Amino acid sequence: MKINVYNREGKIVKEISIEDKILNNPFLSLIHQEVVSYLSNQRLGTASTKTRSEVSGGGKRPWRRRGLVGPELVQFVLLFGEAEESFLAPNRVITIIPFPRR
Amino acid sequence: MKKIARRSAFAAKIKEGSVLVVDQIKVEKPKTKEIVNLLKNLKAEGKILFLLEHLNKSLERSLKNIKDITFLPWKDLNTYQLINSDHIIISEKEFALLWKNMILSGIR
Repeated sequence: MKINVYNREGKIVKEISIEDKILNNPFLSLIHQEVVSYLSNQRLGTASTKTRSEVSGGGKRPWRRRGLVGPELVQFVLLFGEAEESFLAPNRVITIIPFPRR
Repeated sequence: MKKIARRSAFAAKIKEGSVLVVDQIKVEKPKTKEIVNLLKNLKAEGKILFLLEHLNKSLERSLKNIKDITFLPWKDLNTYQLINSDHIIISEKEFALLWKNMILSGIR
């Protein structure tokens, strides 16, 4: 394959030829893997929130220990966000996607 | 593996015709205007990646205030930046070096 060499005015000054061998079959999956790994390693991953146990204050049980059944319990759980606390809040996420060396 | 990924990306860009080889990347004065004219002459639009021999002050000054331009020494090239640019501008000498470097890296 031949590649044009331009000068500053945008005119073709000469051509250089390069081997075709490398040009064919780009390794698409590898490119994707590398880009994904690069981008996720750009993240600082320092976003953080406190969980219920780390927040100061509180201590009173938000609901009775016993005697709550079915829908009652569900209501309490939703009210106090117990269900969300551990799943949705960021807590020092550090993502490092390794990329194979060989 | 990284090298192969980078080479594949570069090869794909060459095939696409978005690698523009220039006889030399040089500015007489540290002016963005010179680079803007160069881009206009080469009909290069969109995100542009400049691969330089090394960073020098006047080139840096002419490049850094233009929108959508990234520039870096060719040795620091990475796959993401290759993929993320519409045009890659490199001088003839650096192209030869980069190409040689790429041929030597990896088996495929």
